[in-house]
Amino acid sequence: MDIDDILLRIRAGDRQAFAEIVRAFQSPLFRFLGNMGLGRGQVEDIAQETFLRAWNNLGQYSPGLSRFSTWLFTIARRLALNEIERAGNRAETLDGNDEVVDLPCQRALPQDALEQARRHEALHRALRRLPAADRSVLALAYLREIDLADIARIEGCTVGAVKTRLHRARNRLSQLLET
Amino acid sequence: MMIEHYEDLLQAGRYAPPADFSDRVMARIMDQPEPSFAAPPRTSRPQAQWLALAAASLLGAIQLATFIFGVWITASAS
Repeated sequence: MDIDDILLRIRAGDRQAFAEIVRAFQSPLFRFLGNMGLGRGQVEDIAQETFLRAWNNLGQYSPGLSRFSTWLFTIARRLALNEIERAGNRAETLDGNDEVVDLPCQRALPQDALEQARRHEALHRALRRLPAADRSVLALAYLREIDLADIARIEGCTVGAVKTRLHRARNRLSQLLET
Repeated sequence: MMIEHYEDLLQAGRYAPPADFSDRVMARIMDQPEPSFAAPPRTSRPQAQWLALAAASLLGAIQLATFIFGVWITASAS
């Protein structure tokens, strides 16, 4: 995807060109927001809001300063952290609306699917118990679209600090998964 | 570490976007105002600078010629 070309087309009035950005980043965004411990409804709302904010602030994106993915995930992260803070200990974060669907292997046997669902649920519960800052660095680290330098830019710290925080977050998550 | 047993899930993510997600986003984008881009750099500016330099050089040359002419007139009168 040539982001410069897409931006030129949008500047020229071709709104539909933005659809290419949406299609390219929707899956990574869902993965990121899911790993932030958000429920399906929250993930959809925040993903939509991320694209809307990106559209409305497209003029502020500077290709010389950062990659488009870095800029987009900075928006998503901020929205996700706001949502986590707003939700706090609200009952909705522990509701039963997060039905386990979208398993990675659609052809899995029912028993395998059940086991997969259990693992998803255990992971999700553990993620929700992690501090928001740990979730953020962890969720970013599992994105193939960005590297450690990008994570450092998004988190506003050094690469060294990202490594330290990531190590700590993985340890905490491991402990939560064991309990 | 326990997390290693969950690497595949973390990499795959829990949710996938619904099939109509991009259509829904684009429907909302269509209702939004055009994003405001910063004005592109004005290409006429360097040309204006060159023009001002040429005009100033011409003015300087005229002043120099006038001075030399004045000196010549004074010298020939005496």
